[in-house]
Amino acid sequence: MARADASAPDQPARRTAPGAADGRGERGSRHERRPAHTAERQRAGGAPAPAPVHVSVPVPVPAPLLVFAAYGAALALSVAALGLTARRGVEAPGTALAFGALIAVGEAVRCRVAPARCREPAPLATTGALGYVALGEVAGAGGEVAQVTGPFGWAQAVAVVVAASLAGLVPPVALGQPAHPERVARRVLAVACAALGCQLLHSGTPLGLPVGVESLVVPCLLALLGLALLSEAALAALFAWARGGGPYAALLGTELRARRVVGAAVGAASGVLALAVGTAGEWALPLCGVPLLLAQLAVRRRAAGREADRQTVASLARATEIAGYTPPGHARRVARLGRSVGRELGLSGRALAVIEDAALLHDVGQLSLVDPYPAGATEPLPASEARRIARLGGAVARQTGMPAEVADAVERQAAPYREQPLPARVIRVVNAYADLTGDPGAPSRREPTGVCGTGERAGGRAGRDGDEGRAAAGGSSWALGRLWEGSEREYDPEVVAALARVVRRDADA
Amino acid sequence: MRTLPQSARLYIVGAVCAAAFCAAPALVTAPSAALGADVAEPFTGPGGVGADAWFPTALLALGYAGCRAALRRSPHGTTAPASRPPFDWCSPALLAGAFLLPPAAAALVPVPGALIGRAAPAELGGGPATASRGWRAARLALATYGSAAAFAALGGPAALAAADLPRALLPATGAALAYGLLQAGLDRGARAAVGGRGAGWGRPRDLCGSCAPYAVHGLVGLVMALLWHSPYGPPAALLVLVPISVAGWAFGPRAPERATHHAAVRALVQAVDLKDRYTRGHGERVGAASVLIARELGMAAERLEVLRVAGVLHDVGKLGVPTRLLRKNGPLTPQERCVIELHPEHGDAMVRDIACLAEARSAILHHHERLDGSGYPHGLAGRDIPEVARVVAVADAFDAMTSTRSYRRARPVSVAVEELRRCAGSQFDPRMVRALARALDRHGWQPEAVTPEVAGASGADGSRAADGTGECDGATGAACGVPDAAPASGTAPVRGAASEVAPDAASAGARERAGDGGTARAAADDRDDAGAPHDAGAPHDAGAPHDAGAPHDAGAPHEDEASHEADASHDRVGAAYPGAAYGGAYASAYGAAYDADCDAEDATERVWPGGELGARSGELWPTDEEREAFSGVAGERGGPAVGGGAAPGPAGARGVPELSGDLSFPRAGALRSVAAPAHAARRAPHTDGQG
Repeated sequence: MARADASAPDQPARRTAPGAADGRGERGSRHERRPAHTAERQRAGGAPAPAPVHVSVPVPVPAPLLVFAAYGAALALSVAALGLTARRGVEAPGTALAFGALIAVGEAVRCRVAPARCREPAPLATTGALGYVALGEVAGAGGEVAQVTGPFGWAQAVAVVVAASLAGLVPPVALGQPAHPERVARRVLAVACAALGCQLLHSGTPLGLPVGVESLVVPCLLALLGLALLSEAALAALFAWARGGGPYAALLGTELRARRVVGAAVGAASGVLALAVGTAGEWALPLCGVPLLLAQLAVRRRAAGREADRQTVASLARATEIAGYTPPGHARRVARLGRSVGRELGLSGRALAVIEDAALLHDVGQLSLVDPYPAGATEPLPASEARRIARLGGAVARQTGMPAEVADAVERQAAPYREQPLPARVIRVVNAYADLTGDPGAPSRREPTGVCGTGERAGGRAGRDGDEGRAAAGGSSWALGRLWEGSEREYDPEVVAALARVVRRDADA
Repeated sequence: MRTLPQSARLYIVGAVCAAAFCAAPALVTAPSAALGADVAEPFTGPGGVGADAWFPTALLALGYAGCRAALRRSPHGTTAPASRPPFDWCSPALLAGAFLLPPAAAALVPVPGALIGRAAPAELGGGPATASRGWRAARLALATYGSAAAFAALGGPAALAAADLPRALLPATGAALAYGLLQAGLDRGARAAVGGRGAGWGRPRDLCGSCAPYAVHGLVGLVMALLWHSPYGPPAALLVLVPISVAGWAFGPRAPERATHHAAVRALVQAVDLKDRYTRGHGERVGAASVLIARELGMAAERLEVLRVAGVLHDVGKLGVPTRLLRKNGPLTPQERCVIELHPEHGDAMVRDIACLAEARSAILHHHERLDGSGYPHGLAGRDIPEVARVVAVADAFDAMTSTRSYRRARPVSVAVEELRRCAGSQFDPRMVRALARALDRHGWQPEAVTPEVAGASGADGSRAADGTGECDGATGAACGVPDAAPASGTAPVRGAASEVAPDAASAGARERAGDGGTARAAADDRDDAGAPHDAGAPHDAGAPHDAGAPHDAGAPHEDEASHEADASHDRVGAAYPGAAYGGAYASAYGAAYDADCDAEDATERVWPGGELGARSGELWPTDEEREAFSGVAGERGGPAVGGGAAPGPAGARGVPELSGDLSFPRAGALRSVAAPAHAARRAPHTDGQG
């Protein structure tokens, strides 16, 4: 196939070849999932055999209704709260304004990262919102600051939070960033939960605590904040479940685990905010607000840095393809397969991320080669050469700003498995599998000289060996057999077993 | 302790004694009246410490210790930059102690936490673990004592007792700054006493800079103190430590990096280095030159960093060019030239997805455009070319001329500027050329300065120094000073360049020969001073007598060129240009140290000028026929073992001398970015498509 591409000199000026390679890589990866049924169908000629339909796990029918209900509840609560507050007037307007400003600023300087990557892009705003609710708790216990009291106290809290969040969203949206209404809805519902809880505790219901027992304030506060954060996590899991992510319990567990650190910080900070304002009046707000704002800016910078790191890794992974050392999309396929194997082995999210990043970078060392290896396969190489490539790749990985484990995994990917950390073992096995199976689904490789209209391969892909590589490639069972053979020294048998399970599951699907 | 020098030992022992003396009143005084009863009394002097001061002291000490213990397991570890004291995220607890407690008791708060922390000999710049722990405890105790004294002196305790925030702000900030200054000052003193890396008192600006975060911690400490005095008591105050610990755990001992693109730039530069080491040094010099031009043009400070990045990464697209092509010995076919001219687009494809490099991307894509529209890839003309690209084009050409290649020596700076001027208007933007000339007049240029990473030390600090100095204060002077250190300095007069500037040589194809200038080291003798400068253009003839017979301590020609270069002091050079301090490493960098981190397996890919062709390449080729013959020979041998020779391809319609630089030392990338202006100008009448 490589040759066929090369001998097409009349292709139009494909100056976008580098970009196209990437596009083809992605398309290739999609093709990879479709088995060879298409070919079979064509061969059969007659009535086509029904191709297996790939459907994702069907989302249960009520899920969209639940999401709709959640949005609807948030909207209704906001409207009701705003209406009630407008009618009754705002109590302690100074405090309300100050907290509102804090929330708005927090939203305005939120992290500019996709919601899937950053669980809490605006911790300052959440802190302000929860702090305002907690202030009601503090005041309810007998603080001096006149605060939300009475049967409609929750309304003011919700109203302030909604108004401030929407106001704070105006600058980013005006600059063209997505608004993520889901987050605001979740926050509104969490604040409403907490405010209602606060009301229950202090407004004379049978559950009410005796006023003036200050020593109970802090535990109650923490309980309230914990409730708010739990409800937000539950709502986030609900939305994720509606998007089709699997069983709800697992999603909830993931959300809680992902939020435990940020949640603890946000909860504690909002408690401190409420207590400080309850003690020292409104002056405490800028006092606490300044460190919080600085922390938010630091979080934002760090998120942007992480995003840049991820983009750099992706760009480096494409570099070998642009340079013609590896088949397009190879790094992504190895990363995806490595993630599946890691999940099969029961690794945590962080370890999976390490595997994915190291898999994207594992071939970068090949940039130092004078001539590309056939199909970018490093498995057949002598150990010294493979180690050299791995070491050079590790040097590049160290500069990317990824955690040190990623660089370690890249650097040690050619070592015998007993000397390797687990991510490196996974990558080695998966890479070997991909090389041995000839990277099925890899589309035809880019021939850079094809752009310039010549059949000579003056330094293009090493297509001369491409066909031999393919001829040597066998099916997946043969590849697995080879991996088992090498598992005394080179490949970790547990990882090979996990890979076998993953492959079998994919074949069955 | 025995490993430390005498002065350091005395310093540490002195500090410990002083700390013990400060804390003595708290230790020896018997418990007395409750703390809350008479707040003012314990603060009046280092005298009595109230009985109930013990409980807050113990609690705060526990809180501080807990905070430090939590941060020990931070994923960032405790590796702090060696030149600054480690940033302590738990200091709000200490400051709260300073605000709440009498000075003597406050001095005791940090002791347990400091002693249990991980031993970090780096804090002392080396030395045994116990010494560093004891030193840390003493330093923190003294700093806390000082800050508590400052707080008391500024009238803080009364304001605090009254929960009067506005009045308490000033004493709190003052106390926090005192804490920071004391801490930093003590640390600097210790480093000066220990000597070694990071020693010295540093600049006052750095000192103030390291104190600024403590002002913010002072605010947090004030909140803690407020809450302590509130009806909600100590639990509320200790709650503050939770978000502090989380922040410290998340961000590590350094403040978060200011700019997000540094890691991206470093990684791409490292990747390019894998392929072609010359391109890396070249990129860094082009970055420095671009900053020079931009500063001279009066661009804003943020733009300077953009230009630096654009210059450093402008040839990143060479990653997409097949290595064999980059190192080819022999003329390039038109198809190969076409492949190489794809490198701007390759570079664009590579950085397209990295958002923080968006502005540099235009320079990467368009740095080969020419003002008259005959450049590539898009043939933009005049103002259509982005400004960044125009600047980088000029800087690229300048460095290409003033750096040593495998096939020719570097030219003197004045010669290079002359040639840039000649091509201004047709190829380069005259404004940028003028700016460069002015900047060079003012600051001089240090050719072939080698950055720390290239010299083999690719530590994070080194690279941070190289990339983080967006402010290139101008490579002041001493450009002549440094080449003196390098016997094979690239600034030696260029003989072989004569071949490069022969546009109307009969075989217009025979452009820059690797043969000619020879490899710098092989031609360390004056081999290339001998021999006629065949078909040298007029400017080079003018240059030739000027440089003729110049010895290799090449200071003299440069002193002629740049009037005030020789005056600059060396440490201004070091401070101004990140690589300047390593200029002396030029020779070694081009020697074995270059390959410090490569195995012997790499040797086959390295071409040493001692090889046969390397020796031959030192000679000059008087006739074009011989040049052709040589190229044919070189083409036959092929392979990486060939030294020296790389024949240029045909001139090409746009006058770009296609030269695939070879692996010969230095491991040169191809010069494709600019034609030697002389023959670009002269080529206009000879539009010669194929050559």
